Amino acid sequence: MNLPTPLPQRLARRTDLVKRLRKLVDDGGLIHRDEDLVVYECDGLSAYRQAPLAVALPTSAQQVCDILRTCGDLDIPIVPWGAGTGLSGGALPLADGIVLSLARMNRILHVDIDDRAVTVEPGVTNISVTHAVTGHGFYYAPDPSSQIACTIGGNIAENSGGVHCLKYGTTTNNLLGLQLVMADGHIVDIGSAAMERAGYDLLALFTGSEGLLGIITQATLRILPKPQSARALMAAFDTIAAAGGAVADIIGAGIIPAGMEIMDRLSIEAVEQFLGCGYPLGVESLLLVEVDGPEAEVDAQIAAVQDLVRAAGCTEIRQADSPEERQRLWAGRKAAFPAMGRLSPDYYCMDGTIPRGRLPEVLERTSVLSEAYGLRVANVFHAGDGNLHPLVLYDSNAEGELERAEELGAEILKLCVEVGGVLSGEHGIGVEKRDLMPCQLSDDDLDLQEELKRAFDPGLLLNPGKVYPALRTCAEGRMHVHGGRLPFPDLERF
Amino acid sequence: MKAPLRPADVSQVVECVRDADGAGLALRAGGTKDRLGRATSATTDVDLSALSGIVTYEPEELILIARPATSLVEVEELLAQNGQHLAFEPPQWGPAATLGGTLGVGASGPRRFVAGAARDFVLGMEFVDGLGRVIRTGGRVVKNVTGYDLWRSLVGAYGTLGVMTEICLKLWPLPETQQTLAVSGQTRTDALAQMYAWSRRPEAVTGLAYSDGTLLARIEGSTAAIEPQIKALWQDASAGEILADTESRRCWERLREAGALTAARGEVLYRIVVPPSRAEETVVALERMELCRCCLDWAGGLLWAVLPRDCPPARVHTAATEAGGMAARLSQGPEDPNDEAFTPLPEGVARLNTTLRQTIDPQGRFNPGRLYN
Repeated sequence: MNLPTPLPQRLARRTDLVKRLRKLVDDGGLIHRDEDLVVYECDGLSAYRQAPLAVALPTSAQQVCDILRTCGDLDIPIVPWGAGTGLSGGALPLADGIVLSLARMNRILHVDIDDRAVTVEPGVTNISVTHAVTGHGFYYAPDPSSQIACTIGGNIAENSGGVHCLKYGTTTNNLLGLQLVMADGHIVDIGSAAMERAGYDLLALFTGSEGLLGIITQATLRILPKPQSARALMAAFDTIAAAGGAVADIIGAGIIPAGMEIMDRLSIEAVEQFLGCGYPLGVESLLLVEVDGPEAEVDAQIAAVQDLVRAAGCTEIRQADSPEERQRLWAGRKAAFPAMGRLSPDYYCMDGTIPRGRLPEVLERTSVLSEAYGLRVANVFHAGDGNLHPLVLYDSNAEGELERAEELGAEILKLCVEVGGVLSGEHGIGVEKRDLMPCQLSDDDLDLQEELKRAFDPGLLLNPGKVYPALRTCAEGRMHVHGGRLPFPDLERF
Repeated sequence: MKAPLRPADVSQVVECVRDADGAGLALRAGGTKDRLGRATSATTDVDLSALSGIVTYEPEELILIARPATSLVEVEELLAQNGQHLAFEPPQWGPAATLGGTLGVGASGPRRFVAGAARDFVLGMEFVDGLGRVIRTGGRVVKNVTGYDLWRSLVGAYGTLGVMTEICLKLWPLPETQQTLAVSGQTRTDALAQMYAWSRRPEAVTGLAYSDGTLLARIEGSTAAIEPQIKALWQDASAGEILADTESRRCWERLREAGALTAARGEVLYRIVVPPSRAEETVVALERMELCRCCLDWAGGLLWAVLPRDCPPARVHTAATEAGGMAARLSQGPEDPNDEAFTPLPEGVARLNTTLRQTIDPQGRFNPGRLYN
């Protein structure tokens, strides 16, 4: 993994940079001593570490604008930073750049229930948005697993999802407005609580742009009334294909569950060892289905789902009728990542998306690859939206295993692309999958995207070295969640 | 005007783009969206009608991939046969409507305030850019963070960013049935208050409109589940009549097509989108411009307004801007250049629009003038 080579002239400007930044922010707004910068060395992709020149923590859009202008003057790159929970290295610092942390811009600015909208600063955590509106009977739908820590700014940068994306969409579908500071320091307001905007859909362009086009300083989010009712069931199957078939049958019957998850045998066993949550052992796959909505609708749908999974050949059903039972069913699924620590000293987490119907084929070919590489792969799958998280188990102390795991990971992602899917569903490209981009996008596609990057950021100072490959070959990527020790062990990861 | 070009496939579209002269290309198919937007200054018509047909329809995957000139009506009929639909409820504005035109103007109907807009139901696209490159962006899956979501920016771009050649749409199950509670004799203020209250409720309220003194609330879902929900609204309103399925559908089709408003001679129709909470002040501002009639949709977020023809469009745009929204003036016909169709963009946003346009279509070949000058 090559990041842009640090330029000596930039490194030489550090003292000057610090002096100028100090004038722009208050006392708590600048971190520049080497020992204090350690905290910002990596995001959730902890295999890659690099301390920045300094960290600026502005408290207003005007300060962001001042910092960008100063960095522009001194030709210093900027890496935007929310909570640093991202898993693709999108917030990995640069040796000759600063980190721009939006953590102190964490106010909820307006709650407009009649507009079903909330306006927040970028450093607000995902869960705080829901907390701010829960008293009105509303919630914010995108729910990435790190939602207690990850920020709205980071969610927009990565177009974060969660487990309810088929029904409720990802961040881009729940965003109404943005305030951005562009690379040249201009502050631009796009959209409002209105449901359409004049001109081009710039929100679409900036959502998921991984900090390459502008710095988010405000966001207006769409909120939804809390569903009246939610019910879940778990069904066990003898084959993954049968579980996949049940998913197709459910959707084919016109039911859009709020969440639909599949776990394979290895994941089930790991979770059961880890948590003892009462999942059946010896089954090849578990399907977890949750439906929500008006009470009468939910009752009818869960009954229909029961019939459908039975007809699809499930061997066991457990239904959760109370919120507590529902949480118990989900607990195992949510513990899948940490549970892998019991099975293996290290694992990689991949994040491809595939057309739902290709699941059996992808898992079969993954298992062939797994054997060829001599490494176990556990699979958890957001079956509703096709987002697959294969976990490659390895031991970094065994010689060559890390490299083999990385190669296997790349093969699995290429397979996702081959069957009509994509390299990343919700973690983003960052540095992690950057060099795999040519496997999915043609030269013309990449050219146009890089032309856009240059048009909005001519100095190439916003998060350079991310998303777009240094070399245009379908290279071996290094998808690297390292060490079995998650960088944020307290966060749920699913 | 030269003879129209009729590309039959992607490579012929590329040829059209590469051979285009400085005056640019006017992209056309069904011709049902002419009333929206400004007139283009392009002198060469590109008739895209031959780029039609469904490429893939996979009901279990909830996707349909089709070429841009595919008939919207045919797609909707096919989907309905399979119990599916386009949840953003696109207006047709004529039987010849195509998918490409629908997305080109970003047309979303009454369900938009709960279901999302046209752009939310596009998963990917193939298009030809201004340099004649065939660009594939997005894909066929819901979750996708691999580069910029360029395809969404083409939705609502009025054909000024590229020629769509293939579109992947996200489909949704068609609700089994629907019913509408119609409460007549409502003042606008009372109707708005009721719409806000109902838009907070957990029932499957998928339409909230106010037309001709009547407040309309639609519930969709299964036959069994719909009764208790519509009754809850009815009890809440303590008045009104319930429109059963067919009648309810007819009512929302009418609203979808133009809020059931038509502009007579000497009148102009506007489509105004503001934050729902700002609907009242917007209508009051329009009344100062001698508003002829109006109706509200999207729980107050969309206003269809008929104004006298001599009302300067700039006044309407200012009113929309002041309420935090935007307005679109509908053209009066082929002779009307509709120069002031859209609310002027603030300087910063205008600059970003120009940057986007100049990057994707550096020579300004596609529909020049159609969106902004």
